[in-house]
Amino acid sequence: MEIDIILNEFASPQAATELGLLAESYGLRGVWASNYAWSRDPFFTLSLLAERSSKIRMGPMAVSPAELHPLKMANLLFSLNELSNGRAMIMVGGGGAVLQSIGLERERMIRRTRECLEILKGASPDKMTNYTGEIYKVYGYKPEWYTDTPPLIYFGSNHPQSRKLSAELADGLITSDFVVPLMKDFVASTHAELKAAGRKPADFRISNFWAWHIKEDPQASRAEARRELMLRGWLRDKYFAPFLDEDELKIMRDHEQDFLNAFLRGSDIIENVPAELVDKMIENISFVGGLDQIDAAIDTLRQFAEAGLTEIAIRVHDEPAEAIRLIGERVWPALR
Amino acid sequence: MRFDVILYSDLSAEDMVRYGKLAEEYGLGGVWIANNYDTRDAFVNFVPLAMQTKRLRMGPIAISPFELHPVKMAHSLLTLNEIATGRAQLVVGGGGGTAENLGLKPKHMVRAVRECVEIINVAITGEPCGYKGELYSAGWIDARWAQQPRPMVYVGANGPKMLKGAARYADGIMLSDFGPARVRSVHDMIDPILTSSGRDPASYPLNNFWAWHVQEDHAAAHREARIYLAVRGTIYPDYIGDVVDADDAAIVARHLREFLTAYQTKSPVIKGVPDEILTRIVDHGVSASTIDNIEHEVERMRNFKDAGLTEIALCIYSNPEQAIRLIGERLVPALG
Repeated sequence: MEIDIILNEFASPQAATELGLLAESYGLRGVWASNYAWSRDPFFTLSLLAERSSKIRMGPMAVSPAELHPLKMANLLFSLNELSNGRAMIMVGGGGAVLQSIGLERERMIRRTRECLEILKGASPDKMTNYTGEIYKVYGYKPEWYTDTPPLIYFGSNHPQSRKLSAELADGLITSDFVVPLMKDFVASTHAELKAAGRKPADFRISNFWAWHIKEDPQASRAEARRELMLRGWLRDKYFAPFLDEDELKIMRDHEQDFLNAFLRGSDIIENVPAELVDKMIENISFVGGLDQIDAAIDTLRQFAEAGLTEIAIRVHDEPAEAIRLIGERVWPALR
Repeated sequence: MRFDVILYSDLSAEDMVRYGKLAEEYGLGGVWIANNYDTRDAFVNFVPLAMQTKRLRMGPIAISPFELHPVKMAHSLLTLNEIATGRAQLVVGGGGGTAENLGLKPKHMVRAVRECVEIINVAITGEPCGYKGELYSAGWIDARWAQQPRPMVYVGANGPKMLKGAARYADGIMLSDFGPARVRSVHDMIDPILTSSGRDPASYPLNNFWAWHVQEDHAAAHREARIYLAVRGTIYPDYIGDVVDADDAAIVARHLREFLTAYQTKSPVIKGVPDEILTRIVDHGVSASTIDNIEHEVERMRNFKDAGLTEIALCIYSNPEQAIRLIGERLVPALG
């Protein structure tokens, strides 16, 4: 199993270059640039890194066809791929905060993504694409300059429908915040669907978005994890049920607004929720604590690898360079 | 008068760096790239050039809000502007080939362009806020990370409604294929609007897309010019009367398909249209002099300047290096 780093949404092109080169120096596989409504354009954020690096993969995460027409997405992706000599990747998503910010609805997500994947995968420098989908149309598309090794195209898939679509059309899928027991079942189903689609599981990439908060200062680590907890599986039962009991799940559900308030205020104080429950949540759905927790993180990553992940996408937060150093110096050598 | 060049849209980032650096060296003001549906992304392809120049402005021409949501356009522009340290520029257009190739049928173009520029202007301020238009809305625009000097936002306009609207909200206007007389008529239209909003019409950025086919050999220059006439405004009904009489205009109108065929096959042969008509169109509608008669083009540019252009964007074709040197050596010293 290889390791990717997900950069935070505030990374500038210059910062992404420094962090990406740092990750490359440790032999990590790739970096992802977060695509948020208020972030820089993620393709640009990575374009400097594309020019200045030599091995590391890079791509935006996640871009929805509802926010960006698949042909525009193709030209952006293939341009990044050319600048990086064939090292680009993308995670196509159904659409989240970006869609809300531009006043668009998340509708017909599976159909949109299917058409998007068909357009991206169907593009060729040799053959003209004429595509007439229910939602998207492309006429006379023949990017003759698109001659590098094609980029890897993932679909962000946490549910059976999107998983099945990934198995049919994508190069890989990326789940988010799946704990190991969930991952095992999901990988098994993915492999079954790949076989049903006539594809070999060995040729398919499976990754999982996983939050990293480990720091030298355990208190700072826990504070960061609590602040971001709202985003972990969007507090849906499915992600927490493997380690919370029914009563705990109910408390979590009943206090969703308190988790959201903490996130929006940038605060680590989640009001009205027992501290023990918050601790249990952050300890099970992210890597948290001081440096003494690195061995436990490595153990969890080994379990992910055994579950069938080909790579893991580790989301770093504050002090990203320090996090990459810890991962590069302590984690990756143990997994390699 | 500022001289820009428009590079042909199939260039690689590497070639753009080569020609862009040469343009900067020769004192040109900016480099534009035409936005086509099957070329590299018109924003991302500028990144290496942005990194390797210091003074040159750069950006795509023209992007339509029908093909790219205004918020996405704003983020692309501002991210390029950050990399180029305040030298990005953009022409927003109402439709064009890319929208056609996406199967889109633009409606309410003037309104769409206006809302698009308003959204970009909101993003440029860096103050977080929303936008509610008739066609586009944005729940939350927040580009506080954009700290560079503001990019230039032009509107591509030829018709009265678009011109008058652009004078109210755009940083500048880019015309296309307008002769000096038409440039004067534009000033008649927009000057009162500019004056009423406290802007000086004499210094308001008014640019004009103009085809440059100047070569050593007269026949070669005219051959190249004829190939591209299909994408020049001059041959179409609203403009052809500027260069030929009504009978000849009727011949041109009956053979528009042949102009298109010549463009698609890159042939200078336009069946059914007499040579003398084609020669007249080329002589009046583009620059296709020989190099030893460059004074004729200097005089043409002087007429443009006298008519009120503050800048001109010369679209260069088969020999970009020679064209940039010629513009830099002969036009810039005379009029720049």
